[in-house]
Amino acid sequence: MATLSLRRAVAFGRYHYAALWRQYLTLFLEIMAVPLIFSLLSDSVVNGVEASLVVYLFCGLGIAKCNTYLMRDRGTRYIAAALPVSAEEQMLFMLFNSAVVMPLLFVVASLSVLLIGLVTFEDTFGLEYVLTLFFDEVFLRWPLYLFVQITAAGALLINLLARRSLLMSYVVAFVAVVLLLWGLVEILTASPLPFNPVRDTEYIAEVAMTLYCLVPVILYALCYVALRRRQMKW
Amino acid sequence: MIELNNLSFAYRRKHPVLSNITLNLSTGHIHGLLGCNGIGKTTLLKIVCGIMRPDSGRVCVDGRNPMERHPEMLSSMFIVPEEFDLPNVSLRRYAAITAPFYPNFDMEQMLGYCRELNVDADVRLHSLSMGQRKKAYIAFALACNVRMLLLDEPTNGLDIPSKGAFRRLLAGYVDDERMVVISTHQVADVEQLIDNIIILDTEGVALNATTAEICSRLSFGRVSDGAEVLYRERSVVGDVAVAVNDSGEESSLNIELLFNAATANRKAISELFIR
Repeated sequence: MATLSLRRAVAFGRYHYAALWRQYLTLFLEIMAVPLIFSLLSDSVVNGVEASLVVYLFCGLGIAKCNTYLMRDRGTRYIAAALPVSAEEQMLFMLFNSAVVMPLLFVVASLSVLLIGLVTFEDTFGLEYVLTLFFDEVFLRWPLYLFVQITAAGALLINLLARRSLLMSYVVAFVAVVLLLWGLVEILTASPLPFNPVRDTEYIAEVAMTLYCLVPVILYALCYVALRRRQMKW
Repeated sequence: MIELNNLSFAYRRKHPVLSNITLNLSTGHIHGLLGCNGIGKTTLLKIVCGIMRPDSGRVCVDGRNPMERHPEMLSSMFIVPEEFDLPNVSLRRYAAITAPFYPNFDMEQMLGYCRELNVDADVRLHSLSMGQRKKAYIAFALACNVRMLLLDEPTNGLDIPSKGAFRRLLAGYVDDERMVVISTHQVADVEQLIDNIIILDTEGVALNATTAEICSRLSFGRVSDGAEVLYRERSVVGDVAVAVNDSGEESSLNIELLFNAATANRKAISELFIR
């Protein structure tokens, strides 16, 4: 039996979603509710779409918490840790969850806000305009996904290693990632490399998308290793 | 099958929980793991199934280190923790989700165990009481048909009829290929089941012997005042004691008395069982 089996990774995913469907539903409703309230207050669905971006920024923590819930929770962690799933299979599932499922959750929730808003409010803008706005401003904002996922996964690692509150860890991770991204842009702009991050946005978007998929999973993997070293004490 | 060699573990430095544990647990037995509160029974079970890492020493399960989390090894063992939380689905659904990890799982068998333990497999697990949830999880654990079943305080929270049903099910579970390790304080609940007794204390393993060996070397019962014994205590029926079995006649094993004797007079008891 190999230590990396797609069948077991899928089985682990089924277990994960069966255990945490309530948390995912809550997250989905949170992503939907705030933009809807914004739409309601401003009587404009466009404001709702824009608010969904801000909501996603703060829902990052919820995403990370969902991803690692089975490792953190006192009641579930020993049963989950005893499941015959290798660390590699768990990380493979996390990669799928954070790179595919979470953005999909956000996109579906945002689209639902959009459709509900369009039906409910008489917006000055038509469906085509709002959909364009959605795809341009929300769906294709990979750097935002990158930022949110890395911040959230970084917050969990800080929370685990430094033993600070999750909120404090999130603030520290937020500042750290902002500084890191700003520093990277500054270094790349000043460097003699043949591309400029300000000018070559398409190239940067591709790099960002790859990082968005990989870096959070690397941070989750570090959380996993740290957790094992800490004898499962989150 | 499970080999522990000079195993030590501490949650905090200078406060060891387990020290120099050397044990060989073989199949075909129900091993009873006994020890005072905080002595490390639960920790030992977690180390055996790879959840926790020992500070020193070696753990080998089927020739593998459980910390490597090899799925094949993990699918041959199952741990029922003392306290746990399960997804809020019915046991039938939980079994359908989790069964792919355990190749020998049998749904019909699990439903049979549920009937025996009087637990409904179609009710959501969060709407069951803790005792019922434990019965449900035990039914699932038994139906996984793993070779190594580790139970941490399995009878805690079980009602009286369920304890009887649990004993019947467990007695039928063990064969030459399987083993069960029960960590418990409720010795009366499993006294008739256990056929190998392991007593842990602060220095390590105070006793590791089969019940047959214990009964052939020790005698248990009431004693008169002047009799030479290894351990004596006052009970409601008068003085009871553990003595060396010189006569060769077997007395019925009193695990509680044995435990007290092994912790109070460790040296004398362990010397009798040096293998």
